[in-house]
Amino acid sequence: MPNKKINPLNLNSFKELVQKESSRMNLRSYSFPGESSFTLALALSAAVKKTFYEKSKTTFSNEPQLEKKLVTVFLQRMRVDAMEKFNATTVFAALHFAVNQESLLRKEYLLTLVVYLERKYIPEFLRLLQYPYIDSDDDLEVKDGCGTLVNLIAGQYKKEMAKLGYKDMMMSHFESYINFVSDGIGIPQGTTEKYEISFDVEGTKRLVVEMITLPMLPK
Amino acid sequence: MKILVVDDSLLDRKLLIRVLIKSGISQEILQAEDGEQAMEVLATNYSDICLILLDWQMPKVSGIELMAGIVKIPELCDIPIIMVTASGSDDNKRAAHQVNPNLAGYLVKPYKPDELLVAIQPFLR
Repeated sequence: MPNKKINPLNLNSFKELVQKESSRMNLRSYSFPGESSFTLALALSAAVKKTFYEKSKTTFSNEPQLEKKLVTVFLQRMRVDAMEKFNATTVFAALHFAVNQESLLRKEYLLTLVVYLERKYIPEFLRLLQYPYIDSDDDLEVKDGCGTLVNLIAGQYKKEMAKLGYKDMMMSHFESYINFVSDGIGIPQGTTEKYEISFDVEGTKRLVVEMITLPMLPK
Repeated sequence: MKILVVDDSLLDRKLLIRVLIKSGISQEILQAEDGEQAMEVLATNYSDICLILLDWQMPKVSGIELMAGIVKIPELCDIPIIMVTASGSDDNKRAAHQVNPNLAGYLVKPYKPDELLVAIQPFLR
């Protein structure tokens, strides 16, 4: 359309239309109980391994360590002190799963993933996934990098869950922080336990992934 | 013509743009970090955009929501959209095609550069 005069679109109408169409998105319903959270933690462990293996044939030096731990809850959010994971500056990123977009907006999470990485190793982890170099001194870049990683792991995790017969869930965008977050991280309501999975590189813990889930997920 | 890249991850946008530039693609690249910002870019630049590369999970307005609006707007509905997302489940793919039956492609992160180039090549002009 080289000679056609172009009028800008009405942005407000555009936004209203997007909102209206969004509300027509399909709802997904709950059904019967799913696997134990242990099985879900195993599936998460497999998802993390596949994320790295499929991209760069990278393997971890030991089998991941799974630990069940109590969640420190304050005002229905999980307290996080990330430095305790590596005893060093730690970047962490969280991502939530919910039945659908509306549930995500209402913070009615079914499952929450949190990925922790020691700040100085983030560029190396991303390099393994063939991402461009990032500066480990740049707060924005390391937070974005850690968020990108939780996003990739969550995407792979959805595939693992689908193999176990779980209904597809909606993923949130990521939120990422350095060392701590003052008001905590939103988690599925009523949860008091989490699985912490640690991954070693050359015999040393370098990546930690936490999973906080409701005991029953839709199948 | 320009390519609009919509993704909340700066790193993913950088990766994607690097692949495009390294492959010699000369189109100008516009960026947005969520669906809302993409609407602003589209509202004023739509006539120059030949392709949208769209993430799904983003703050404010997600990729699928944005796409649901785009397909209803005559000025925008013909712009090809390729979803580039970490959500590669069949349900997600089905939902994307339901929202946009003319969806130009669906790439799952982490993708190979060649996959991206093959997907976008038919829409470059």
